[in-house]
Amino acid sequence: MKFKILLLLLFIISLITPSYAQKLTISGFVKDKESLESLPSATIYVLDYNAGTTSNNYGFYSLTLPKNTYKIRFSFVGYEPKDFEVDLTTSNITFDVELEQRLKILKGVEISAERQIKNSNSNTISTINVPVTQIKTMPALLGEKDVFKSLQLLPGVKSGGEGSTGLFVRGGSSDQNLIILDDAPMYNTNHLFGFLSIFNGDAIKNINLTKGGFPARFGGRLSSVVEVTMKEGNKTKYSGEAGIGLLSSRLVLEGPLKKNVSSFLFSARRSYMDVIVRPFITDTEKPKFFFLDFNLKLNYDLGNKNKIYLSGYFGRDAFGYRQKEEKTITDFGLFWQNPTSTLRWNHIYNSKLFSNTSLIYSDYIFKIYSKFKSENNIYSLSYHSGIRDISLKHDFDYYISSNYSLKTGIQVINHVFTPSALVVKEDAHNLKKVKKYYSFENGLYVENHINVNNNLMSNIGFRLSHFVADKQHYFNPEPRVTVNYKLSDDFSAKIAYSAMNQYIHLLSNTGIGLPTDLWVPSTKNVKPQRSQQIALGFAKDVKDADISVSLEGYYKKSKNILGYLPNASFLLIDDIDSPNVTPISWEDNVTAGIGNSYGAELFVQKRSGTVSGWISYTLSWNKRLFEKINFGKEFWATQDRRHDLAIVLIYKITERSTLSATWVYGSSTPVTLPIGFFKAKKNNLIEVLNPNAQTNMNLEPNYTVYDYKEGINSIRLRDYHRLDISYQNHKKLTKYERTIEVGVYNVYNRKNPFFYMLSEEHNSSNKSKAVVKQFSLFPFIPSISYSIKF
Amino acid sequence: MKNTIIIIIAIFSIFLTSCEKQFISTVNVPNVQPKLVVNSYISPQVENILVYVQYSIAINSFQNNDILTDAIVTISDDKKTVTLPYNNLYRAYAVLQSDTFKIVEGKTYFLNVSHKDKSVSAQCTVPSGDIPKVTIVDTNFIFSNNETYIKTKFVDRENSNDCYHIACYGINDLDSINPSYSQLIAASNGYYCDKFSENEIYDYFQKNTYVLTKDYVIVLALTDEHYYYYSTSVLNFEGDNPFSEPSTIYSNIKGGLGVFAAYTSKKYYFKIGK
Repeated sequence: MKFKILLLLLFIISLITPSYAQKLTISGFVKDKESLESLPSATIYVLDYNAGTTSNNYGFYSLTLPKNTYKIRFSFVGYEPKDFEVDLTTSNITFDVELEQRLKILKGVEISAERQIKNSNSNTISTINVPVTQIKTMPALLGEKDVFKSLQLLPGVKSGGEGSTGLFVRGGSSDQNLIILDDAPMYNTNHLFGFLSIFNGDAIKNINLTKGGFPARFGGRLSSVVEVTMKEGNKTKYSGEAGIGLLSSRLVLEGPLKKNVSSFLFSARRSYMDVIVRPFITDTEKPKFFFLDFNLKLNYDLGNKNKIYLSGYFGRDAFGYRQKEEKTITDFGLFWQNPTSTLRWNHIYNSKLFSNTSLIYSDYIFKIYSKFKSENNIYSLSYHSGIRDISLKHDFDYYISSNYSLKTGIQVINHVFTPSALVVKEDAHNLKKVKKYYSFENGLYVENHINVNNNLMSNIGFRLSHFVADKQHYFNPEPRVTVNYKLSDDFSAKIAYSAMNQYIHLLSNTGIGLPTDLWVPSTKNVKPQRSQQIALGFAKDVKDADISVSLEGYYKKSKNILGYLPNASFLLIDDIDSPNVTPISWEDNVTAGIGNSYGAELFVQKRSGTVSGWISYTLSWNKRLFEKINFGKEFWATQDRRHDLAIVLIYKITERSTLSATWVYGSSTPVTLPIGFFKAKKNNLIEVLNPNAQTNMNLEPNYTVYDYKEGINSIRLRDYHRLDISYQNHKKLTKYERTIEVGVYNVYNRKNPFFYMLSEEHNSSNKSKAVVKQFSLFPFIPSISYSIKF
Repeated sequence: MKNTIIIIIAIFSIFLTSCEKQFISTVNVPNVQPKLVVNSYISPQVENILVYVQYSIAINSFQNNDILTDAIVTISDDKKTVTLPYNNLYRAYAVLQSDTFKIVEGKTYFLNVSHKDKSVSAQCTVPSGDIPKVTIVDTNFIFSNNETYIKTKFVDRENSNDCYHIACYGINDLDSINPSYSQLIAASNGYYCDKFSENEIYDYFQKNTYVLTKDYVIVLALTDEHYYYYSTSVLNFEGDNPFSEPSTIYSNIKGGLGVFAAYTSKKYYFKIGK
């Protein structure tokens, strides 16, 4: 048997690695002509030879071909493709290519261009890239463009609720998404309790979502990977962008540090609700409610073989109040912040071997505080939770031949968790209860990208993950396979299997991604979450219309997913005012269970043209089973929604103006809501002691409790739907280009459910009855914003 | 241009101020009707079999939930069926255990309750076998605070899937015909189930500031799962506390709400102090 496997391997290797002696390599970077920004996922295609590749995340490509002269086409979505005659007969060639944006060339006149990236050609499944430029023309709540929220309009992705930035992918929970900004993990993506994400669209180059068929280089989460890449900054000239909205203002500046060699990008955003109310309050009061964020990126080309990038993010949300009177100071509130930084070094060993080394830092903290100071007294209380990561990552891309490339790498992450830390200071006695968990999360992976022949492509990978916390070690193998078989030139069938492990967990009993949610590690008692997913799909490209269509089905089974025990509270402290306040162990509040989700997704996308946009539809089922929740009976997950539909249309009326509309529909989600009350009786065993007790004592049922129908999440009430529109007008002035945008959120004023709760109503004879009230959040909301680009 | 902006802002302001009523609306919950609620715990050690019957109050309804007096209640084992009449003294449907109908260890009992067009049913099996012995590990009485501490221990039965309920009472006038009992507060609430615990030895800790007596009794009940699930779910119920997870109430009443559960029990009398 072993011999047969060896023979098979030798046969495959012989197919994909024919003799090297007759082959030469062309390699280099694909860049934007104007800014010299690298272009990831650009297509490099050898015409008349039927071979090609795509650039990696840093714009690097490498293609090994038999000695000959070739015509090679370089293309990227939104850019004019370029063809080059390349003489590959004598030696390896380093060949950097600069592509020009199509609009710059054609002065706004759209062409029916050949489609740049064929979905049917790509060896990925369940992966979607939404152009940031398209997102910037879409309508948004209060005109605040949000690249992250636009992901909620994709198939298989559900939002956490009205206005929320939470992502729930293929039945997963919000903590099961690996959200990385330039390789740095983001543990809280919320501004304003989730109404806005922390990603400033002006500083973002690319956003990519993977829902299934995960390449082995990704690990640590069960449901999705959201890769957000920051712009590098213009290497040729200084430019900027500034905008004023109803909620916040933003600024982006970029330019060369040394022309054509290094550049910087700086962006900043801040809300100004607190500034607006300041004139209406007294001098002694100081409200604190704002969010702000900064992005900074520097990059430097150290010759042809080395590049260095330094990127950083700092964001903070604060809500509080401070009052200073003659002799007293009162100060209370809460804040959360998530600074990150990434230092990356790209090194090209030779034309076939590319490496990237990243040193990553991320520090998320959520804090509630209260201080009181008088002449004689000082009292302060603070409670915080957080997670701090320092990580080192080393990856290699090895382009062995045009049919075989290999990606391999290693990552080590040091997590320090602080699920709850309580510090109380009061004159005589101080209390400090801080529990920290130290852990290492490691991963070793290899991906084999094999083109067996012109029709069959595969990515066969393997990841070995390891986690250690509190002397408890977990090792888990994670096989990953994606196969793409071309049924015709524009039509392919794809299948993928992936096993994933998640060693860190978010304790959340709201499910909408509030900052109060706690990150905790796997421990001896809390096992890592594990999932297996199979995805099967078809991809079709309609060449003339620049439309891609994909239809996918998936089945995902997860185990050891965490849930709160009935009655558990997310604030892990008893009585915050009590001096004897004691944190409750989070491990006592949780229990592990099973998740099952399956469904089908349809995605029709048109990325360019006078009319562009997409239609996405998801049909899905999402269930949970916990021994200790709902008395061991299976129940619907909170985000279970049978139907999800999103239609995004962007219409270029003229070169200067764009009209866009988004319509979303989601069938009702299940809620746990009482449908009645009744009186229950707890036996107290007194009747065993005294036969007369049954008459002496009041033993009738006397505890008023709720009738929850079939239990957890057994009621579905109202569907969700909404139409948003926006109109953008651009005008080129002498020194800058300005854009005015007028938009309306919830055009037909639909009262969508945000949450439900019981309320009491009285009739004329003062009898009361319970009714269910629906709270809606955003009615018809118009917005206007103004921005300039210079 | 200036006028256009002013008009746009004016329109926006009107919409924003008129949308206050948008935020809250009443929702109809479909198919909501009152259900029959049954509460009954049976035991060989308790001479009366009592069944409490009520209706639940459905939302959107002005009804009340008084005890029902005209329901038809029957209990049966594999051989006999007995109808329980309504008893004003207990405000429940009641029958006295006798030679003709007894609650016996290991037997399964069936309960049927009907009222007008509604009927519900349930069944439970009385646990059997020896009840573990309870030992008093430690006692303490702090005179200044009027506090009594009692620590108890019992060994869970091996290789079984048992549930337990333990309670402690202080007894006043033990020697009188009609002594009175005051329950001590259980630190651990007194409910245990093998299914959720790997420990075989349970410690039990109680305190009470009002009991001033030397005489105490521990009651250890061996219960079925219905007893455990229902009691703990009622105990943990927190209503509409927005800061905690919803806790649903267990029921084994088919077509209705409440519980029909069984237990056996043993008493251990002891004294504290001289």
